[in-house]
Parts: sequence; structure tokens; C-alpha cells
Amino acid sequence: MVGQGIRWVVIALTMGFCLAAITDMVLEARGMRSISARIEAWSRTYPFYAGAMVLVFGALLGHFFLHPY
Amino acid sequence: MRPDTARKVRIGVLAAVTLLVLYVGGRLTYAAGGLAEDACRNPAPVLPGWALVFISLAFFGAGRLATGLRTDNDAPHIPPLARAGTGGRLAAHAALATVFLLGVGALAYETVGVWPNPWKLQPITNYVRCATAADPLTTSLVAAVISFFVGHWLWFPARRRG
Repeated sequence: MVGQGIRWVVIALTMGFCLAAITDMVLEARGMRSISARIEAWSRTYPFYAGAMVLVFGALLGHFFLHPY
Repeated sequence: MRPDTARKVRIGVLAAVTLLVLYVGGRLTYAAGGLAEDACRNPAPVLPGWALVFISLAFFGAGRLATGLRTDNDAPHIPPLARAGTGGRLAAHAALATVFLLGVGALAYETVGVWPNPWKLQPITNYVRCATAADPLTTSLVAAVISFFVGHWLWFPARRRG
């Protein structure tokens, strides 16, 4: 069961990375702005939301790795 | 380098990255299937948690520094989202909504996993901690890559003045 759970986490991460890379390939081929440029434009337009997402990311890091076993 | 050649090189690099991610993901998926049921009962982490956090923070900073290396989407030339076309705004907001929906799905799964449930689902946190104990090198690599992207995308330099 544990192995299956980790397997799904790995599959979700792999699919997420692949989807992002394939989308970037399509955008590049069509001469459009990349995903990075779009996200950076969003984070510049909404810096507080971007900061909030960074805080959530930091909380997840601590939750995953600093919690005692 | 000519623009057409540069574009082809970028597409080639992206294709290579996609294949690499698929290869690593496939190997990890196969390896996860071989984990014994009691592999995570009493995990003995080789790499301490603070080291993983330190690695993640270092790559978070590296992602921020890497924004200065890009020339294709140099910061001052990226228009604010508010001034983008309707199609661009719609696409960006649809992508953002999808990401948040996936986050809601993950939290819903986590909620079910925390409670005693008939499907024996466990919280995602357990899987991540188990992966940390079972394969600290790969886990720290994945954490570093994700941290790099977060730093690269969200810790973006302020608009230059003047």
C-alpha cells in the first residue's frame, strides 16, 4: 500500500513536469511566451499572492522534512 | 545564433528534458512498487531533515539568481498580466485555476488519508517521509528541482525603475 501511494505521488509529479515541458514546447514552436514568462508576469502583477504561495511552499517543506519520525 | 536555430535548440532541449523526466519517473515508479509493506514503519533517515531543507532553500535561491541568466524573457519586457490580451489573461487564469483545483484535490485526499478510511489510504505526507527514508538522494533531487522552479517563478525581481 505504501509503495502504491509513493507510486502515485511519483506519477503525479512526473506527469506534471512532462505536461509543463510539452506545453512549453508547443508555445515555443508557435512563437508564444513560455510558461515561465507567463508565471513571472503573474507573480509581478500579484506579488502578495506570489509571496503567499512561497509561504505555503515553505510550510510544506517544514511539514515534510522537519517533522520528527 | 539565428532566431530559428535558437528556437529549434530550445525545443530540442525541452524534448530531451521530457524524455529524461519520463525515464527517471518510470524508474522511480518501478522501484516504488518493490517497497515492502513495513518499509516505512520505523524509517531511519540517512539524510537529516534540516539538510533537505537547506538543499531546498539553496536551490530556491539559485532559481531566483537564474532569472538574471535568461535573455528571451528579460524582466522589463514582460508585460504585466493586467495589460495582456484577453486570450492571454484567460489562458493564464485557466492554468492558475487548474493548479488550485489540483491543490484542492490533493488536500481532499490528505483529509481522507488522515482519517481512518476503508480504502486504507494514507496521507501524502507519509509517502513523502517514507520516500525520504528509502531514497534520500532522489528525494533531495526532486525537492531541489521543485524549489528551483518556485524560486525562479515566484521570487521574481521587481520591475526596474527608470
